[in-house]
Amino acid sequence: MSKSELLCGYTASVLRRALDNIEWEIEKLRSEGLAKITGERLDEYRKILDYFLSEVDALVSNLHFSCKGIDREELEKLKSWLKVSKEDLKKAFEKKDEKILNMARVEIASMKHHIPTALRRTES
Amino acid sequence: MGELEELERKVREFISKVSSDFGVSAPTIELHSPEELEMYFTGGSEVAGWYSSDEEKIILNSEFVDLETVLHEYAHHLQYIRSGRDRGAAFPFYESTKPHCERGFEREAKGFALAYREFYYNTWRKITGRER
Repeated sequence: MSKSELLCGYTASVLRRALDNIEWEIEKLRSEGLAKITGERLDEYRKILDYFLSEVDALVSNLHFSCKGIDREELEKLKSWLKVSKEDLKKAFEKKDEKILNMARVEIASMKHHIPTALRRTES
Repeated sequence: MGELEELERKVREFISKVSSDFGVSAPTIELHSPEELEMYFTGGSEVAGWYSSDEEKIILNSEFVDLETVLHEYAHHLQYIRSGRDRGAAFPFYESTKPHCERGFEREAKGFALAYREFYYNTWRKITGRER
């Protein structure tokens, strides 16, 4: 296996891990009840989610460098899901809306399940 | 070869390997002492590193050379290349008015360094002999 292939495999696994972490944090938020969480605790959640989202941002933005054979169309889908989920997370926090929070969770989960399809190597 | 030049050569070798993995041209690497950096701009001696997109160059403070800083600055190189070498698109001016940690391109660079430091740790240690 070449270093480039290793890099791609590593990128995919770190991306999945970061998305798993986001999903996990959203689940915790939902189980605690978003509406009940305030002040420092809410800021803590926001910071943790921001941390994992910046990792996901960096990985998705550079995916076409780290995974050369990535399907461009699928990559665009990942990018648009990421954009929507970030917007929904922001909205969910602002409005304290659990329905929007759940939408963000579904979008994050969709991204995670979509990674293998996006990384399907194209015939060359 | 002086100590600084030797470290600069090692960082260059490391970045060349990373660039080969990412399939892009490697940026130039320059290491400077804090005193030299202070001459660039006031406070330069306290900056760990920065990326000059015009020259496609990573400038590092010899006092703060570590894997995370190098990967962080390298992320800016990828951002610049990704933008089609359009500085305004890679590093939008409106972002520069925000605090450093809130700029989108800085957050992404931080995320990049965090995501890849594990992957490149052994290569970094092997080439530079540094633990961090």
